[in-house]
Amino acid sequence: MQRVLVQPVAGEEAVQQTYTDLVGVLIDPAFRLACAMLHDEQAAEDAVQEAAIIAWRKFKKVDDLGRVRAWFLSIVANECRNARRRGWRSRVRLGLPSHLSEASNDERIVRHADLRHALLQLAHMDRLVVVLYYYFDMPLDEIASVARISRSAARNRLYRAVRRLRPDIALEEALK
Amino acid sequence: MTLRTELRETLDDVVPSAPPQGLSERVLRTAIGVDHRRRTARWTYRLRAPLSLVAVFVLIAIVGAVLVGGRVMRGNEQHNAPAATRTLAQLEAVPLTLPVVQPGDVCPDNPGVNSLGYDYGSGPVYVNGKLIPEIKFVDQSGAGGLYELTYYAMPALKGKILVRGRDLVTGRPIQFIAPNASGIPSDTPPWPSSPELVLDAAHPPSRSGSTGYGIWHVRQLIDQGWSGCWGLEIDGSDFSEKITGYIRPY
Repeated sequence: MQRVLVQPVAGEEAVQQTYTDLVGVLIDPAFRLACAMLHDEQAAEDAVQEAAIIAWRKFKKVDDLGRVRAWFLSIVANECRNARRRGWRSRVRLGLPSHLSEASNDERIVRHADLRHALLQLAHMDRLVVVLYYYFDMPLDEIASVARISRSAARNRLYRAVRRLRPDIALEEALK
Repeated sequence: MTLRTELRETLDDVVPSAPPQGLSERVLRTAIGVDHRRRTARWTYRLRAPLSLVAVFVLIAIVGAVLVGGRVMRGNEQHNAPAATRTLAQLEAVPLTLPVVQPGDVCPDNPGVNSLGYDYGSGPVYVNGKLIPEIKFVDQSGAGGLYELTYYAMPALKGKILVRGRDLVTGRPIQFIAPNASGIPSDTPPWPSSPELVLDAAHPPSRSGSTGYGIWHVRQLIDQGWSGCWGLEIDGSDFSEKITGYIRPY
């Protein structure tokens, strides 16, 4: 009896193969999403790893494999939120004097510094909506699935975030 | 320039053009592996015999151990003095035997995820930690970075535990900064640091409520130009543990 119990559950290999096939192709976009959310490669890798572990545990309960992309990215987004909640990292960032920051000669980075700073100031959900809309070219329906909110809530969050990022330009212009 | 273009350029600055090599395989393998280990542990627990039966066996074992083992212990005590804890000076006299890695060679990465779920270590001391990416500073010695680590020591350990480490390629010592309970000592480097970390096993700043493991929060400093290949040697009264690993330099 013991031998039977410790054997893999029937069909587990098939589940594992399906998981590998479906989630494997999502690791790269998940990493890009996490980087865009956290602005930190190492934290992004951690978030994706955590998300993959959670996804594997819950994978058998997924009833619509056609929506795995939105499902997995929503777990990644949630792990990004958890990563930012962990302790004093953000406090250190805000408390560090500017002269401690690594100097960069990249003018492009300097030019976009204010926008990057504004992005980081957005609430997690607002930033997620902005990243998915502008960086991943996701339609609002899919954004809503990833963010686990309604379509109208996603749209409202997008509008609000855009106004905060660029209060000086018209909404229609900003959404192009 | 549209907001979309501007945002894309901005995010392109923080999103690497290609993910780390082998990321997908590594992530999936770890995810499935971690779950398998936990499930195996769960099955093991479920397979245990009824607790009453276990209790009877345990009781018999204890009585037997007291009767038989007691005599053996008394016999041994006459010949063997209890192992003395080594002083800090004695631990410091232990030569470091960390490997030396030539530039371009593969770093001997031995951590993996151990049975306790900590990032590094085979016991009795374990280490978890990561880079603090926000702290990249520039001072007279160049650019460097801080790593936030947590050391866990088995509750049975006694005496001092000495931790030393170095970059396995350049040989530069890892510097330890005081336990971070009080934060960074000051905003401006250089921060007070030491090439040695001494942990008092009997008096950790905190202990795990569930396991009794001693817990120390520590910050470690790496100077400019490090290779990313590092090693730690942890010496105690009756053990010597070596951990090596690779962390991508920034």
